[in-house]
Amino acid sequence: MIFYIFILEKEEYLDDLLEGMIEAEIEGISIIDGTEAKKVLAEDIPIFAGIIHAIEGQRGKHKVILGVSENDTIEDLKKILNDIAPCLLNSGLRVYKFRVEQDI
Amino acid sequence: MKILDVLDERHIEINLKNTTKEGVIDELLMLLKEIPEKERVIIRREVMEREAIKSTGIGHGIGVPHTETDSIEGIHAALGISKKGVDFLSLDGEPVYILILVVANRKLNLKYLSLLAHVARILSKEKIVERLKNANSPNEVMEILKEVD
Repeated sequence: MIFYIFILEKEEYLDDLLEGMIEAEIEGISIIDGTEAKKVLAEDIPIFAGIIHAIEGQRGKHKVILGVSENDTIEDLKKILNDIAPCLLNSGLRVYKFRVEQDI
Repeated sequence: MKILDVLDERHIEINLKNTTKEGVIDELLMLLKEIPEKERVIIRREVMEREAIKSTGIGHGIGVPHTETDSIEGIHAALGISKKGVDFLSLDGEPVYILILVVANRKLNLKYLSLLAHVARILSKEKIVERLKNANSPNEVMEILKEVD
């Protein structure tokens, strides 16, 4: 079983990504609101206020999406994204995958 | 899962005669000859119950009536083309010209959702929809779908 973590910075593509994941037979999908650590540091700790420029141009927010599939379907997902949201293959999306076993 | 995994020429009608939602769903169900009559009646009711929740006329002339069911095994699909257009109570209020009926055993939820997403994606391409609308034979429909499947 493959476990995926998607970090989607371009939140406006969430629907496209979810449709692609469903078509690629990724299941158990959960979506979590994420905040970039730099944003919290810059806003909460004065010494880091200067790093706010590092996240300029983005809101410092992103979606963390978790999902699993029986087999590795990431190549299928890339083909689908290439069709519906090709810009995500260049920027705004990071994908991590792990081979895992389901316990319970 | 892709549409050509479950569709063949026997499941395609390029000139639907009915112009009502109920009528075309009946026509599409009749294309699924592998499903016994008794089960087709149950599936018809389930498809119409799903339509009552929200129309599967997703706009741009496309309708994808579908249901999950316990009455049959596997996943089945039928494709119909209406030259006149069907009043499908679509989201955009426009008539439907391309219809794909999908019925699946409830246990195959993952593949069922994958197929619906696939169908929605390939039918979001305006050029493909136009070519399908003008197709002259089931074989031509299959050839068009092979290009995008």
